Amino acid sequence: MHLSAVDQMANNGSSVFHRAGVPSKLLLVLVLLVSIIGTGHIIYLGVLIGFITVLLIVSRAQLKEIVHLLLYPAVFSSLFALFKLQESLTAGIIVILRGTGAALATLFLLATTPWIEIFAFLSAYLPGLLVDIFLFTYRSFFILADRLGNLLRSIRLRGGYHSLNPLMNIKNMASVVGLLILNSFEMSERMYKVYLLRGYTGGIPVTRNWWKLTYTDGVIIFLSLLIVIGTVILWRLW
Amino acid sequence: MSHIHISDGIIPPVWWIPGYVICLAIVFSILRKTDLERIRQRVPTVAMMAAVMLVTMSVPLGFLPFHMNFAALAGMMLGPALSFVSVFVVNLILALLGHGGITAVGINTLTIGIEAALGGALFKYLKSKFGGTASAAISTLSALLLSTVLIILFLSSIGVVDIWSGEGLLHTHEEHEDHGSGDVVYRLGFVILTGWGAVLAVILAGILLETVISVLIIRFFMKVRSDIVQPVSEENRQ
Repeated sequence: MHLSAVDQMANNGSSVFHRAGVPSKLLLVLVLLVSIIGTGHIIYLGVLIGFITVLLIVSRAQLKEIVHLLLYPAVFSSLFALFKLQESLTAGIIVILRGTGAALATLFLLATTPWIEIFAFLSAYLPGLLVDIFLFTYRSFFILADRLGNLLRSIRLRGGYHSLNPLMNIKNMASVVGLLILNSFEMSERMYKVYLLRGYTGGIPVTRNWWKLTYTDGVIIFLSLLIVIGTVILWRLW
Repeated sequence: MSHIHISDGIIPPVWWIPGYVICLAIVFSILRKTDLERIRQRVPTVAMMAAVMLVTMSVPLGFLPFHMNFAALAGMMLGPALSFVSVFVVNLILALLGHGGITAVGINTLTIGIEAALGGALFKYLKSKFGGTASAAISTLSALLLSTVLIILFLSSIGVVDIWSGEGLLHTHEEHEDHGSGDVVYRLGFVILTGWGAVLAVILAGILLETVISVLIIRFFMKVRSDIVQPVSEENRQ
C-alpha cells in the first residue's frame, strides 16, 4: 500500500512545506478537494492538478511513489469514466481528473506531514478515543505488514502453498491470518501496557503552537484564498 | 468484501453528504456512550483489528476481482459497536491513500459497518445455540450477503451499475471484459460466464471464500484462545 514510503517522505523531508503548520496545509488540501470535486471545468481541473504537482516537486516528494499511488485512483476512475464517455469525451476525462486530482491533493498532505502531527492536530477537535484508535492503527499497520510478509514467506518455504491445491492454500491462509491476529492481539496488549508505564493516559499531548503562523503558513493560506477565488469565479461564470 | 472503490466526483452530493453525516453521527454516538475507562484498554485491540483489515484489504485475491476485508470477523471479535468504529478508521486511511475517494468514506463505512455490526450481533446471538463454528459461518454469510445487496442497490441508484445486466459490478480489468453486448463476461479457466451469471459467480465465490476463512480463523481462536472472541460483556462493548 506504500504507506511506509509516504511515511518516509513525510518524516525525512525538509522542504518549505514540511516546515509549514498542519492547520494551513489542511486548509489548503480542503480547499483543493472542494474545488476539484465541485468543479466541472476541465481546464481548471488541469490547472489544479498542475498546481498540486508543482507543490509536490517543491516539497521534493518521491514522484515515482506518488505516481505509483495515483495508479489506483486513476484505474478506478477510468472504469467509471467509461460510463460517462457515453455522454461525452469531456465528461469521461473530468471523472478521471477529479479522481486523480483529489487523490493527489491528499497525497500532498501525507507526503509533507507526518501522520502523528495530523492526529495531534485533530485530537483537539475529535474524540480522544477516535484519535487513539487512529494512532494505534497506524502504528500497528507497519508491524502487521512486516509480520504478514514473514509468515507468507515461511509458509511458501515450508511447502504450505501449492498453486494446484486451493483447499490447502485456503486452510493455510486461514491459519496465517489467525496466527497473525493472535500475535497482534498479544502484541497490542503488551504495547498498551508499555504505553501505560510511560505515562499514557489517552490522547496525544500537543506541544506545537498551531496558532503561531510562519511566513510559509501565510503563503499557503494566500494560495488557498487564490484557489477559493478561482473556484468561485468559475462557479459564477458557469 | 463489499468495499467500493468509487473515485471522488462520482457519488452525487445528495448521497455522500448524508452518508458522511449518518456515519459520523453513529461513530460519535458510539464513542460518547462508551465507558472511557473500560474501553480505553480495548483501544489497541480495536486498532489492531483495523490494521488487520487494512493489510488484508490491500491483498488482492488473484483469481477473483475482490479482496477480503474481514469486517464480519471484526464484528465477531470486537462486537458490533467497536467494529463499526474500526471500519470507519480503515476507510478513512484507505481514502487518504487514494484507495477510494474521500467522498466514498461515509457510504463505505455505512455498508461495511453494517456488515461488521450484523456479523458481530448475529454471532453473539447464535454462539450459545449453535457453537462457534456454525454461528461464525451463518453470521459471516448473512453479513456479507446483506452488505453486497446494499452495495449493488447503491451503485445501481447512482447509475454506475446496470442492475439488469450486472455491468459495472466487477471492477478489475483482467477478469472481465465488455464484448459490446453490455453484459459482463467473466473467465475462470475454460469456463466463461456472462451477465448476472458472471456477477453472481464471482460474488458468491468471494462470499464463500471469506466465510470459509473467517470460520477457520474463529475455529482456530476457539481452540487456542477462546477469550479473544467477543470477550467482554455487553455493557463494556455497548
